[in-house]
Amino acid sequence: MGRVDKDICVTVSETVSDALDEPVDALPPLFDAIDTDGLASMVTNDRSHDVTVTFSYAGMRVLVRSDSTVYVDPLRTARSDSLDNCV
Amino acid sequence: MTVYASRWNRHAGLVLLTMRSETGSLTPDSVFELLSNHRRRMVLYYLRRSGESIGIQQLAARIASVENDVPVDELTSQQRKRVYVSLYQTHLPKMAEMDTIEYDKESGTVRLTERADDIDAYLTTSDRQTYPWRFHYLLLAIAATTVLISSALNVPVFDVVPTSVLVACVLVAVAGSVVGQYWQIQNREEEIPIELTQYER
Repeated sequence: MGRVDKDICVTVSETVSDALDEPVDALPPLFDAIDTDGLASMVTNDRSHDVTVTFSYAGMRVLVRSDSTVYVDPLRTARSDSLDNCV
Repeated sequence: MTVYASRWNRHAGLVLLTMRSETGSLTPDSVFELLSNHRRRMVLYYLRRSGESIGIQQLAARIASVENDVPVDELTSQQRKRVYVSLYQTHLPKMAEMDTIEYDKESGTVRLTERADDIDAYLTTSDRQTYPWRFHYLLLAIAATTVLISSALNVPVFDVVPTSVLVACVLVAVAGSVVGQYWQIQNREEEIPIELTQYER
């Protein structure tokens, strides 16, 4: 179970996949949105290191906390090129 | 090449692309970055061993089997999926960007590129003591020189054997050593890399 919790990149992909109701295969590679090694190294069990990373991926705003919590929200932006992603 | 250039433009700028094209090989930094993850090492190992394209699903199943220490046909779908998503979303795109693998989107398969050969120089295949070949050749050279000089000076014992026979013996010894060393190197390449045999998480 420990390993499952640790793999933050898979958690992000699956959370976005659930939120968009699309299979993971249909999503673009997470690696194109963020340095995935860097993202994985940010996650820690040490509560004194409170880090939060936010990035956009597949039309979603993704927020990852160092305690492995993942939040996703549709991107809200004035940029016209992302309007179709917001719905 | 156009896709490649634009990809590098976006990430690291045109300078890096030019530098990389000139040297044509991976830098130590990028090799160690690639090798810093056990799943990427396993991808390299399985692709190297198969020598041809492998489906990503199949690759994920093999890696999940090693990680969970169960045979491939006893894996749960969750165990497979976790590794599949991690390969598909993070590790394979990274390896493709470094130009060490080629990803065929239509068939869902990957294979190694020639550039992946650069990585071999950084991999140890075994921590076992290997035969001291340098010492072997040094002894061989000393022995051969002694024998041939003794023969030329007609030292007793050596004067009864014709020089041509002694030369032939030396040549056979050298050839035998070369064949032995070659055989050992060939065998070593088929061993599981130490990075995988000591796999623990």
